[in-house]
Amino acid sequence: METVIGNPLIKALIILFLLSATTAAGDAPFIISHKKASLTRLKSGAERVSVSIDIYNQGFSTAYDVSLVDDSWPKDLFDIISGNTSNSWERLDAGGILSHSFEIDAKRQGMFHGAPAVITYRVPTKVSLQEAYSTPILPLDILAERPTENKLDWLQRLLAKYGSQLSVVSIVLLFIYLVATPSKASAAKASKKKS
Amino acid sequence: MAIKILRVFFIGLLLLQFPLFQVVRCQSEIEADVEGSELGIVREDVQDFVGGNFKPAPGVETICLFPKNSAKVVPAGEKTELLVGMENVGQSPLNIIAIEASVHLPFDHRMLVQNLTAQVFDNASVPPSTQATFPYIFAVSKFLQPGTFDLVGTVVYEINQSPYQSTFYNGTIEVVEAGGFVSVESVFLVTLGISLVVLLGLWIHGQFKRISQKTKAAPKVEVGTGTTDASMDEWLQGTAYNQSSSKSKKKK
Repeated sequence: METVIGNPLIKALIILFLLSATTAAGDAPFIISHKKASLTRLKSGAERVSVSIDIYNQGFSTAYDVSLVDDSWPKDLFDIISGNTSNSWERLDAGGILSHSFEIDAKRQGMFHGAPAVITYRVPTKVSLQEAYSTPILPLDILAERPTENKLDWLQRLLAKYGSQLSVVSIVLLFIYLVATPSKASAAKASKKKS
Repeated sequence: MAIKILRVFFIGLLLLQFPLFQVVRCQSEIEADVEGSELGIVREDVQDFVGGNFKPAPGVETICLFPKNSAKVVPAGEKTELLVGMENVGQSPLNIIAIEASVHLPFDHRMLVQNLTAQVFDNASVPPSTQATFPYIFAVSKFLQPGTFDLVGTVVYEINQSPYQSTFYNGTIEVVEAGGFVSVESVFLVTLGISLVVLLGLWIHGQFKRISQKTKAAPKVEVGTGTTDASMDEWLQGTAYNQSSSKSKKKK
């Protein structure tokens, strides 16, 4: 008897809950994309740019046919070393994350301002392709003149960073050594007493 | 010898620190660090917008995300990044002017702890029916006590030359102490703990030895009287004791 009453009531409640959840929260995906670019100077003198793009879905429904296209690196200024500047995935669920990275070599010296990468995806409720932009990157100083670091400066920097920890550890070790080893004066006294 | 080593060591420490002496600078340096200028030429009229109170536009949705930091942990004095997602549902493009944030006390929102540096944008726009993400890098004061604080983040933008403002985050952040595992306090604490344990061990060892000495001493005394045999004592020859024992022998 109870199950007969309970089941349809529970079903109705569940349906009501789902309806309210979808209408109250908004049922579209919200794509947030984080684009990071870092420079590394190779031994050969070339400047390598490592680009990584993370795509998060902070919305409440799945995004389908997610495609990432990063055309902000012109071919005459950069050479692709590894990876591809575009990628595509079948779906990105709500709360999920996708990552893509590639490496390119910079050819020309100067300041480079990169445009955001474009992410397109599909939602079941809309016909047109949805667009999202990633974060812009800070201007990159390609093949910049780096002042040669003095050995003294490097040592000073290291000291400043670890100096306090090193000194406290050495104080503690010295104290332990003092306590543990008997002094030569008392050792001489002990030997005198024996003789 | 050891005192000599100590003296040399401390003088050496003092001398080593001379190049590292720095005058303590006011913490307002963190706030003066203008990162916005790195993203492009700053607009002249930005000052009119930053700090003002505007209403949010109806066709704009904002969302905030702490990348790879779901616990919203903010180390004091170090850079933390958060991403602001903007969705332009309206018909006209919107231009982002600036992103600003402030830290408040969690129990009293009116108590301002710190105003974080506003990041201004020059050429940031969101076309209609698109979503865009903008980064906001901030650093709370190095001397902020670890704990829970309220972070209020707002984004100022304009649509068709009219300014608007939306709050993209109004929630708590966890401020923690930035620092490695080996610090002055931790080393001293660990050494103190180890020394206390060693002292305790020594005391227990002493107690144990005392107890075991007591139980051993009693049988020793008994053994002493047991092994001496009166008849073996040569120095008793010719004395009264010896004569009495020979008498008792004769009687038998």
